[in-house]
Amino acid sequence: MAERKVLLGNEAIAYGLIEAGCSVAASYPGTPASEILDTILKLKTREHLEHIHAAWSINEKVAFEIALAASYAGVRSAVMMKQVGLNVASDPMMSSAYTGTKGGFVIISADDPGPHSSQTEQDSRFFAMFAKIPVFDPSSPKEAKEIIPRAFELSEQLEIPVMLRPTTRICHARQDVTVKPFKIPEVKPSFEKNPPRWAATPKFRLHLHRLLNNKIRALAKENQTFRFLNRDEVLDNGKVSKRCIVSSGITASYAREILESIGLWHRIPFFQVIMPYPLSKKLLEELASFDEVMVFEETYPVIELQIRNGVKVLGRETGHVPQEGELLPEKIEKIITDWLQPEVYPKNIPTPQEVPQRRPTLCPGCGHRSVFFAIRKCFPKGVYPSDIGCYTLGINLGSVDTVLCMGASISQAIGFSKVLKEEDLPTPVIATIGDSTFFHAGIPPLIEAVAQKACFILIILDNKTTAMTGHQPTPENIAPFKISIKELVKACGVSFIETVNAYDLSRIIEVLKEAGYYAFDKREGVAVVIVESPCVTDRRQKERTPRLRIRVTDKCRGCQLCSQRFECPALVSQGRKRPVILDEALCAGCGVCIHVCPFGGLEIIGNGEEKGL
Amino acid sequence: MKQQIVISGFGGQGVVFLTKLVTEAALLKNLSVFASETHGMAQRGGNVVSYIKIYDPLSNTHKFWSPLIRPGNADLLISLHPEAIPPYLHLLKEGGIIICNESTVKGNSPNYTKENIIFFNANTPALRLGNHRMANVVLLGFAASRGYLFCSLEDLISVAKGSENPGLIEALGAGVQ
Repeated sequence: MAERKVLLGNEAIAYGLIEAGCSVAASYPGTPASEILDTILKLKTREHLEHIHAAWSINEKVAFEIALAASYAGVRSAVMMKQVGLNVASDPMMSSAYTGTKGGFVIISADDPGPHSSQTEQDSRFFAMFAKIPVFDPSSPKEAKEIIPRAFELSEQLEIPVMLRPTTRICHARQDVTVKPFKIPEVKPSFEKNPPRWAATPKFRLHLHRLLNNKIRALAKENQTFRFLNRDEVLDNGKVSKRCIVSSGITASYAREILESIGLWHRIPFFQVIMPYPLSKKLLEELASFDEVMVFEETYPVIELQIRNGVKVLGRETGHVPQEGELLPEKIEKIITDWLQPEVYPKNIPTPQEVPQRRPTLCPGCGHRSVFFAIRKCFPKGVYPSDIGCYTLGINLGSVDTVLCMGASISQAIGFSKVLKEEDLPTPVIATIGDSTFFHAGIPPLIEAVAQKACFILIILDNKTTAMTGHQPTPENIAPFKISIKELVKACGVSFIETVNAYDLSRIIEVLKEAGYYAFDKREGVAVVIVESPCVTDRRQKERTPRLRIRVTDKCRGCQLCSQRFECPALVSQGRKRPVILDEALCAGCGVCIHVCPFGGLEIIGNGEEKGL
Repeated sequence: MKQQIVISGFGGQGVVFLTKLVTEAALLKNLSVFASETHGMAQRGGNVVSYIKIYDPLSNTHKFWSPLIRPGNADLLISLHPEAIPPYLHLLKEGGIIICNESTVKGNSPNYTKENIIFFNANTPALRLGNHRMANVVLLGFAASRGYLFCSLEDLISVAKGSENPGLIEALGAGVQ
């Protein structure tokens, strides 16, 4: 029996996958996509869904290939990731479009217009177009869920990978949706050998490319891939406007709500594109009868650039729609009214006050804070390549100089260490990378560092989890095959390896100096320091942070070292030369600040367990 | 029946948790709901905001299609910290209500004199219950008991009864004055 639930977009997608009989789900966590596999894993355990193989992979490329093989074996499978994860998985994706699929295969790539939690605002729909695979662009969590069975069917019918591209406002929206009972798929996995297809040599690839082009051409003839949403209302109204709107994804929902609220819904024809690539030929025919077509989509002009039949298109290319940033509803409201009702506007749309926004910071008690403080203390003139994760926030402590993409900290450290010199002495290069990122893309560059005898310090911030995205496990903590980072580093050929506790600031400083002697003075090669610090927000970790009660003493001089350079959110500055205030509600009691203050302005007054933390 | 609510605070204060609670109450009352949350990097101590839009699915004219609230349209702003009001003030409609928790650091509250703002110290009752992290739920209990929400305190308590956290019911009750 169907049941109504309020679900996060990502949860709705997870339910949709299981309801549609998805048997293999693979992913690497990344905002805004992480909760999809989180939810599948939770449901698998709770509902005893033994038929599903679901697991976090080491990176997106591996996840993609695991799920694709399941499709080759005839069962429905899915891979999910954030948009930059698709860059990592792009190699198998390009090739899979040629080989095609057997069991329904859905690629879910979640884009992040804004960006809120990403390095780029890139549009995965262009990646779909590049690979020549169809892509669905859902406009709500409910629609994302409803598209999934359709995506599987399409994939099976044409033997092609199908992409579902939600954005942050779909993934992290909540909506009431209907859920159905899960059923176990009847298909029995079997791999039909066919080397000319699955292991095609270049000669056969040409043939596969021809087949792929035929599939895409056939799809473009479909007319179920867009909807004329207000056909009835507009036709009832009599005179049809010569201006229309074409929109997809969440922006279609914003635009619809705005048109309804300003009384234009019955006047302006509104086409929602469900599949932006390949764009329906039928839609292009419909659009030919209009004088002006306004396109709303995120984040790049994928639909806009495909409308080429002489119609006047207004959008990002013509400057009507901003070329970067999230296309928020207030922006759409302004564009629509400027275009359709200039006489009514400028209506007063309130704008946000210019207020200093609180920036993201490392959590109070986070073990990374002491490391970043120590790096700058030991090597004030160093160069600090870093990586993707919570620890990117080490930027606030002045110990992060570059953040490029997963694993780049190590390769960039090689590059920097080979070229940077100061008065003939090599510049100290200190790279930081998290445990999950190290597994994801840090191992090949570490081997490279050893092979090229690059001299730098690599600090692996090991909080035993993928913290930023909600504490997904890493290969280090999946029982029973725990993989040791220290052993891996050793196997990469590194000779200098030290492990320290994140809360022992003086020991960290000592070890960094030893590592500096090894890498910068003796020029022996890369020195690796593993800093162990259980994540303070991960309640599943047994080993917890110290819980001390801290007090500000009368020796505090108001120098702001603890509140600004050490940047603990629990230490609130009242201005220079005024004593700092400790916010007890925020303080985690890690006690590192005691050692940061050079004047004895902070002291331990007991154990903090009674705080009920 | 429709209501647009903004909940703001800092990462870690439980904005997302409150959002879930409120959307569940909507379901209980057979209403439809859209909400939008902050996840990922922005959650790490920065400003966190949620939007909640409640409507009657049986109504023909008062439907929502999307999760974001446009500036000048929110009926209610619930803020878990005084500093989390200014970035979202423009979302409030004329005559909209602000309900705000007092700061945990004395003397750190901006001075608002507007009539439509109600300050409530949710920290003290939460500490009395032995968990300062419950201040968010206490504040929600306060808002519901004063009739500012589309649902009653009893509706929220019914949701809390179905959860695995036994402290919730007490915390909601601690907001009643």
